[in-house]
Parts: sequence; C-alpha cells; structure tokens
Amino acid sequence: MKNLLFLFAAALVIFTTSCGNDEGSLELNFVNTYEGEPIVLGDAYQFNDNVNIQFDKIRYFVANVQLMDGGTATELVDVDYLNFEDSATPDLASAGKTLIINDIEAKSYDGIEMNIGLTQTQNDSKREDVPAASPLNDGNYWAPWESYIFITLEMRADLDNDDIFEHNLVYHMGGNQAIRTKSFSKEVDVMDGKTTTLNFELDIKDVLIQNGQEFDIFNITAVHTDKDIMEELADKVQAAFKLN
Amino acid sequence: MKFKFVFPLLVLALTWSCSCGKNSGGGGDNPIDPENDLTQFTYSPTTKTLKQLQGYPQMLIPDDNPITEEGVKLGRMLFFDPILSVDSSMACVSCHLPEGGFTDNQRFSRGVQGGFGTRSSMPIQNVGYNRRGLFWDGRSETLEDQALLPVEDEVELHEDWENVEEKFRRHADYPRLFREAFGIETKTAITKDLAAKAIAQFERTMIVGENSEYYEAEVLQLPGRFLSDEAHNGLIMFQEEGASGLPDAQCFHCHVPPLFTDFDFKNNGLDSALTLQDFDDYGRGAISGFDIDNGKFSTPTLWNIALTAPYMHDGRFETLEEVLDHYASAGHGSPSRDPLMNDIALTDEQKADIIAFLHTLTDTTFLKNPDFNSPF
Repeated sequence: MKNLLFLFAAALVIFTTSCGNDEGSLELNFVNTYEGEPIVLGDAYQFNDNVNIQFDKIRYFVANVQLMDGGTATELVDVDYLNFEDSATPDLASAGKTLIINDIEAKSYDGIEMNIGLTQTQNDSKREDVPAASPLNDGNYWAPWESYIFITLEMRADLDNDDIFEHNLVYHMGGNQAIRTKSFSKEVDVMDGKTTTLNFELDIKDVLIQNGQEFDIFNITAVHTDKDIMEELADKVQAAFKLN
Repeated sequence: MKFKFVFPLLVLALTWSCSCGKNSGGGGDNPIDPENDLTQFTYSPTTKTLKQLQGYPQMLIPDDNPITEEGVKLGRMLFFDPILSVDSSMACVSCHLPEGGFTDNQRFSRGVQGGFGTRSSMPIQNVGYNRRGLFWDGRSETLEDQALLPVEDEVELHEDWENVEEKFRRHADYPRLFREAFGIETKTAITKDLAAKAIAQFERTMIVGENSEYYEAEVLQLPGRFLSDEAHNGLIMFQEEGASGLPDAQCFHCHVPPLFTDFDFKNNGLDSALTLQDFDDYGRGAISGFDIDNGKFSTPTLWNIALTAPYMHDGRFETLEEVLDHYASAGHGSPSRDPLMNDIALTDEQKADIIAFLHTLTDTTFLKNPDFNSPF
C-alpha cells in the first residue's frame, strides 16, 4: 500500500512539473502620446506656435500579433480593437489599453510583430461570417469601401488661439492598401509563471509632424476615400508606432 | 493511522454532498407544495435560430440567456402585457408601438401617472446588435439589464418588481410559461431576472430591414427592384462622399449601413455650450462620468426612420426636413461637438433626395409581422 501511494505521489509530481512550469504570460500595453505625454481626450496639445489640437477619438485594430523566434512565429492575438474612448483622465490615458496573453511557451524570443489594421483575410471576410464575439464587430465596417476602418483619428483644431476648437479633422484609414506591419527586433523573455510587459506607444505628434514636415491639417480636414492620403497617413502611423 | 482517519471523513463528505444534491433538485426530503409546484408542466425548450441577414453582423447572444421559442413567446407576452405597470395601464409597447417604428411618436413619453420623462422613446428594432449600451445614454450594458429599469422608473411604469413577481405567480398562465421557458420547478422561482431575460430574448428577434425597398434593391439586388432616381441620388449623398458630383452629406459616418447606426455616443450639435458643464442634459457624460462625454447621446438606427418622428433624444424635430436642415448647418457649437459635424451645402432638392432615400428604409412587413405584435 505504501509503495502504491509513493508511486502515485511521484507520478503526480512528474506530471505537474512537466505540464505547468514552462509557460508565462505577456502583457501588451498600448498608450497614445503626444510628444511623449499620454493623450487625454479633450485636452489641448500644441501642433505649432499658432495652432492647438484636441483629440476626440483614437481607435485602431491590431492583428496577427506574434512573437518571433528565428523564423518561427508564435501567434498571440488574431485581432483586437483598441478603442481609447475612456482616455478622459490623465490616469486612464497613461494606463492605455492592455491585452493579456497567457500560456505562452517560456523562452527568449527575438522579436514581436503585428499589423496595425487588419490582415487581408480578416478585412475581406463577409460580415455575416464573422463570429459574433470577434473584435471585428467592435469596429466599423464601411460597406462602400468594402473594408473596416483600421485607424480612426478624430480631432479638433484651434487655428487662431482663441481656445475655440472649431476646425474639425477626421482621418479614417482602411482598405487593404492601408495595412501596415510593424516588426520590432527586441529580446522578449517570457518567463515561467511570470508576466512580461511590453509597452507600445503611438506618438501622434510624430504622425502629424514627421521629419519636421507638418501634415496639412489646414486643407486636409477629412480623409476617407483618398487612397494616396490614406496610405501616407498609414505610413506615418507605422513610423510613429514604437516599442519602448 | 492517518488513512484510517481520513477514510471515514471522505465517506461522510460524500454522503453529505449526495444528500445536498437531492435537496437542490426540489424533491427528495422536501416535497414541493402542490400550490407552488410547476413540475407537472413539461420543460423541453426549443432552440430558436435568429435570422442572419446578408451583410448583417452575427448577433452576440449571452451564454446565460440562449434564445428559445418558449423564451421568446414569454418575452413577447411580457412586452405587450400591462401587468408590468403599477395600475395595469401600460406595458413596454405603450412607448414602443409597432406602427411607430417601435417608438410612441411623442416628444416625451407619458408614464402611468401622467408624468413625462425628459427623453423621447428610442426605436428598438435591431436592438440586439447594440454592443455599446442601451438607452440614449448607454446606462444599461445589456438588454437583460435594460428590461429591468422602466418597471420601477416613476415616470414610466412605476411598479415594484416584487409586486410584479407576485402578480406573475398568481397569474393563470405565467407560471407555466416561465416553467416552459426556463425550467423552474416552483412559482417562487419566478424572478424579475427571468422576466428580463425573456423580454431580451424577444427583443433580439426584432431584426428589421429585409423587406425594405433599400435592402431588396441595394443589398439583395433583386431583379426588377430599383431605387427611384431621387432615392438613388439620396443614397449617393448619404454614403459615397462626393461621388457623382453630388455633395457628401456625411450621414453614413454615424449611420453605418446595414444597421444604419454605429451605436456610438456623439454630440450632434443640438445645443450650444461654452463649456462642457453647460449642457442641460449631460447624456452619456452622466453615466461615464467624463466631462468630454457631456452632450453625447446614442446614435439611433435609421430603419423605419420615416415612421419614428419626432427626432433626436428629446424629440425636438418634428420632421425629417428639420433634421436635414440641422445637419446641413453643422448644428450648434460646443466643446464636445463631434468632429463629423460640418457645414454641408445641400440644396432643397438634394435634401429631398436624401429624405426619399430614408423612406426606402421603411420595412412595414416587419412592423406588421404578427410575431412582433400583440399576442392578446
């Protein structure tokens, strides 16, 4: 009897050791900033000496998020929709949005990559075929585009320093040509039983003013259908998206 | 030695858990009072599959409230039954009439004791697709939560849920219907939460659009079904952003086809406000607690819009012409006015074309469907 109990206990120890001890978690945190400061919706940010802007909506899809290890990819997130509608206080703006992925093989990876926007397969899927619980259904699908809106940036500008933000800026990016992949070469250690945090930052000042070049917010007040401008903005978002 | 001690304990625990299981079944040692017993009625629910319209998203159904034929039947009865009100004079349908596109066509809805609310009744067609929050301010996250509130609202049905539950238990039919829908074994197991679940199930079946002129011509593209020239021009201005030389009326940014809403909260410029505290009705801001949400309200669907006047959360516009005039003017300025609100140069003819298009969103087949009308 004693022998049987001993064998059972030993098997239990071996079983639990082999099953549970080589996985960890990743916390992917996304924060929008303006010149490094978390963006609080409704607060004023300086575009240039004469113009201030306020943010009303910042929303975007991330898709196909995967850890890279040599040529091997470990998928973390198929798709998620990041809607920063509650970034209405400094604390909430600093907190941003967080995706938590559990049960990842614990080891050292050499990079992470993701789409800002959707993959073509996701974007081309018929709406009625998308599972009800999919984050795709949290975003907007625009039938005339035959596309989801990948990135929504809606702002108001005060062009004459009178504290009245009367100049509307509505920039929507979508369509398969607006898909952008961002890859980061960085050692990511997923540790047994622990959570590793990665902090992603989208600095929107870098979207609006890149390499000293101001985006023409004075004349380009809406971007929905002009594919060239949409692609230009998608490029700027891609460049401004960082892993700290 | 230890084993000898542990074994009897295990046997005791097993015996206890088995006996508990018997009691929880409602039989065994504590037989149900015959007056309270519902087990003579069969509980054999039939899953109800919702219509999946082309182009529509799949509806998110909560795991704890699957849709059944029996649940929908009960929910429909509760929706139309004045038993939910304090004096048995009003029901959900009193403010959500089928012929009014499931609104009451009043600026403010009148409650059981003659009082009026401060907002107009919302159209509730396709409400099952709403993932952003019910009511004009999104105060309820789910249909199940929403269905609970009007009963105890003093300017609506002004009843007490405990009374309603008692009325259900005394009713000739409801105990059986609750049993058939949810499998409860006793009358005392009838609760407001089950009533809300049933109403929510019924509301999720209210899928509108497939028999409208727009849907048949533009989505299904049925042979011989075309929009009139006026309505077609209206559609272009509604959604195609300057194509065909017509102005972009920018409607579809918020009224996104095919649901013709994004269920989002927006300030569409109804009121002037110098600061975010200057709104009479904070709307979404009163719920979220964020000043930037003050003056924002839920975007309603446009299905059957021609039948749901008056318009806006406070019913201030009596006609679609007034609505078009408002949007073309960009509305009134305030710090939370939506960036999509801009001056739009529309001629009277162009406005009329957009209204012609809006009329193609009327689906009277849905409104006259017996499934969505009174069972009494």
